[in-house]
Amino acid sequence: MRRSLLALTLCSACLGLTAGTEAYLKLGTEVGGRIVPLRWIQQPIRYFVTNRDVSGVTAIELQTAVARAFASWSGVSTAVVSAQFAGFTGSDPFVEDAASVIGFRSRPDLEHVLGSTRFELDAVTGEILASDIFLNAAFQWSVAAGGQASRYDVESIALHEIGHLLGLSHSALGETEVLGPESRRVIAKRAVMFPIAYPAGNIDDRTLEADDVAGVSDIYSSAAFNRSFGSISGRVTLNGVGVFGAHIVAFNPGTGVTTGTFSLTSRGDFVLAGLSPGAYVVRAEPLDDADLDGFFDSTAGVNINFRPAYASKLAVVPAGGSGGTIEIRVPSK
Amino acid sequence: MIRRRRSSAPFWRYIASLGVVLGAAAAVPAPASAQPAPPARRYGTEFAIGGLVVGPMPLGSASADYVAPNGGLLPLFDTDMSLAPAFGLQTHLGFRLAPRVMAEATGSWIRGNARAEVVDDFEGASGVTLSESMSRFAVEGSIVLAVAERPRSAFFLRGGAGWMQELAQGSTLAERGIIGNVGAGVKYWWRVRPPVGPQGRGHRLGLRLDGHVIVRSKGLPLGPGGLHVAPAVSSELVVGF
Repeated sequence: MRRSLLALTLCSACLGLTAGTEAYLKLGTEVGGRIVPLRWIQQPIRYFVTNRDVSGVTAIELQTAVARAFASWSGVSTAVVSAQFAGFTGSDPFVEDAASVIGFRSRPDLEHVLGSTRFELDAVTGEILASDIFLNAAFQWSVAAGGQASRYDVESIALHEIGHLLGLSHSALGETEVLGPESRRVIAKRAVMFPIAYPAGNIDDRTLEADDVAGVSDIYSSAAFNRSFGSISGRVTLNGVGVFGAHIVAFNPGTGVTTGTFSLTSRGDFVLAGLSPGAYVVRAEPLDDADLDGFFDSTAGVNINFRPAYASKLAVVPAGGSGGTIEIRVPSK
Repeated sequence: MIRRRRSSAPFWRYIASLGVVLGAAAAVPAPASAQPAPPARRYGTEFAIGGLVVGPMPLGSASADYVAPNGGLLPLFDTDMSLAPAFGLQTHLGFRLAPRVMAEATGSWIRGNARAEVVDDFEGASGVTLSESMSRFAVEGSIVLAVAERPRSAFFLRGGAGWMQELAQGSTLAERGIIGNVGAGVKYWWRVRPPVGPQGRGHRLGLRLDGHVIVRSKGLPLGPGGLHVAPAVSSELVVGF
């Protein structure tokens, strides 16, 4: 059977898939013993919106907010992404119907989940055939232009979920503090795809950050992206042994842009793509600001027993290429 | 936010040493057979080549910031970028426009390091200084004004601007920019052959010491934009004919 169903629960308390093997943290699936990135081949992506109002948000308001979120992703100049509203539907999201449906569902049992994304894939190619997004109607929502106190912003959460729909997993560009079991609070972050949302009332996640742009550009590269942007590759080691699951942050002092990825092999290899030409400060840190299963489906191999450290030299990124390989030697905790 | 500055003492010690050596060279008495120098206008062209030392150039500070829910910024770490002192070669070709004024074309090449001092890591990682090799090629046009001329020496002011290309990590990354200079210097002629006859051309050989300020715009994107400044000195063998 070619068509397979793959369910993901992503955003605000999340389940990720095994990452792709190059650049950024992309969603991937195993096909024929190898990991292939999830991506849409057929564009524009046609989506339906559930024709049901919830407290504070009508179906039309939901559709308008979702359209704005899609427009933000489509507006990334270095990526080729297009989407088309196909109409309202009486169907709920997460129903196996070969259509992409976005809507509200009330799931009070998912007390830390604002929304989630689910895929139907081509089991041979990894192509995304359909994808549903639900926003949890157990929370209070708003589409107010300036946000609304105590209500989560539909456009912000939709922007994050559509990032998943496009094939992106989570970014770790952020700092959190633990509030209790399975509960964290964002201290600060620099990516819409960070797994934990800003508090209710905040609308900062309506705007994509450089890390999000790099991720989507890596999956749906435009010719300009391949020509104008470069990459950093390298390895994270602890006492000479590769570190799997280290979070890598690259900072360009010339642009002020911060971008992140992960070491994705047992050798500690990483590739960070979508970087504008320049010299970068590269830092590795343990993945300890969100639940590990928000990033990797198997957390057994993720090493968090080390302290943050910097690469021993500046990493130089040329346009359309890579500036060589760097090694980041991290000290143990 | 804490901003640390590197000490430039070693660089200035080097400059002081260079000045002493070059000053001593300039003070060597002229050969007894030397003739009094003829008027400067009899030497319409000058060519010089020698060494160039460029001092540290601060490029500014930048922070890897996260955004807090209240819109405030949380620095993950801070960086202080600079170009370390660099050494290279410089050559001038000057043409006299007026008795005290020369137009000059300058070509230069330097090699040094781009540097990032990383401090104040949010999670306590040790501060580090990272570097990567860089080089700069520049072609400039300048006006040189002689402010005091004696038979064997001339003090001058110089100012100009031009084009540069900076390369990092060999030629992995190449970026263009604009470069300018303003400064002063002295030429000391220790070997002079005066022109013979009213239409004759003499020639002379000397030493040129030049201290100037380099102003740089664009180039390698190593920090916040704007103009960046560094001191520089050069010592060159100069031929006038």
